[in-house]
Amino acid sequence: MSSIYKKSRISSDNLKYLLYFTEKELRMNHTDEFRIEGNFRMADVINANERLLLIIERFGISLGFGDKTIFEICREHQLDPLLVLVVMNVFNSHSFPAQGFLSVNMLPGLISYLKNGHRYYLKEKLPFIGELIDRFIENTDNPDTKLLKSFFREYAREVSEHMSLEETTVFPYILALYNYSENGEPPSELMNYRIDEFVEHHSDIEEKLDDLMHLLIKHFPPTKDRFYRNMILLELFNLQYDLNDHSGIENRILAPLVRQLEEKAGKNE
Amino acid sequence: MSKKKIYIVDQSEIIRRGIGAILRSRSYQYEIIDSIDSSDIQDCLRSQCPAILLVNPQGYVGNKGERLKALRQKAINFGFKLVAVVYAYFDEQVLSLFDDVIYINDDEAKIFSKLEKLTDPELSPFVPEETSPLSQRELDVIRLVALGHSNRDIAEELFISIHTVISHRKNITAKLGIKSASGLTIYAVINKLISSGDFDKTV
Repeated sequence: MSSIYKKSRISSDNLKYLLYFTEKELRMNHTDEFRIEGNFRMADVINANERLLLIIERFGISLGFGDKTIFEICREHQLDPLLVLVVMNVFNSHSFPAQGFLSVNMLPGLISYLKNGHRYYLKEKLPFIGELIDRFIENTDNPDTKLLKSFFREYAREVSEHMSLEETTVFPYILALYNYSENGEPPSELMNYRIDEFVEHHSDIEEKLDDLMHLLIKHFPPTKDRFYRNMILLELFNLQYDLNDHSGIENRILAPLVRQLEEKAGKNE
Repeated sequence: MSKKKIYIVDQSEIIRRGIGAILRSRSYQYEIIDSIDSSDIQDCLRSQCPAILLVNPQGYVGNKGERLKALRQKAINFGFKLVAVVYAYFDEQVLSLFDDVIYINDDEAKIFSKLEKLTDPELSPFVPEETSPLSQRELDVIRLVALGHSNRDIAEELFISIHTVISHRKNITAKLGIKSASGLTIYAVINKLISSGDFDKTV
């Protein structure tokens, strides 16, 4: 993994965070919420909640880790274990840590994680759903289904525009701010920006996804093909769930940390 | 989902506005209308029936309880819940005519749990607004949205105000679960409100 992860170290803030994860109740059923801790075996955790596969993928962890614990795997991959635990717990049980448990040292690793998430949505998930829609159209004799394809293309374009705004503007801004606070490197021209603009911007790409699901569930008349229609819906539910947590991480973990940096840089005076 | 209307009727402004403020702290659920006495509530009941009417029983105790019974009957006819706001002594018989009672020393959580119990759709015969079919006007609006018209154009075309167009669009979204113009376009094509040839022109 990239060297930015090396920067993270256990500060007293992070220790507090460790304490946050001390109640140990790993049950092998993800409908029961459990808190993931660093000394859990990764294989057990994945078995308990398969959705976490997506997360470890985005941290660059490959399957085939035998009986290694989360801590061991993080050490091997030079990942900040606290960040990994925060994100895994958000996805596992929608539990967001309190502000005091987060540290700005998590920012570079977090951004790298989010970028990998973007790559997954744009290069893998959305194209795959696009293909399912193609199969659906092929296997059904209703020409109106073709409209779904153009609707989906429009949706995918909006997602892509939103994510590239983050990658070209928001993330560089955050990293510049971070470098400034760590090393006093002079900030770039991006410094006029504010993270709150981004949070405001962070809007209704969910709207179209919702529309698409309603069209498939309620409004399209019964189609000859049922398999692909169901597959598309399952994938869309899955995507919606995933994007929800993704923007939760951006709004409730990333943005507050950046606000801390902005305050430190005296931007809110 | 549409908001639930709650009417508050009490002589005291402190009580009216106090309860209003507590309820508005979760305003995504409730729309609150308050009034000093019940006379101007009468018309509202017919046109915009509330989910809950919060009243001080004081205004209804006279006339050997007939006024209260009349109010009870109204609640049954119009299908709203009647809740007493109590900060003085009332006979148990009076209070028994109410669906529930909010006391002056109830805290926010208690008030909400009482109101939520009363408006729980599982327990109430209310049919949610959004399950009703689309009106002719709403169909007209969908067709024009699907043809790529702006809200302003639609207002002109249908001789209605732009606010009316916006409120039609809100109702359409509530009923269909579709918000975007392109989503509505697909709905319009599926339901033959426009032809798919028209669709190609708008995309």
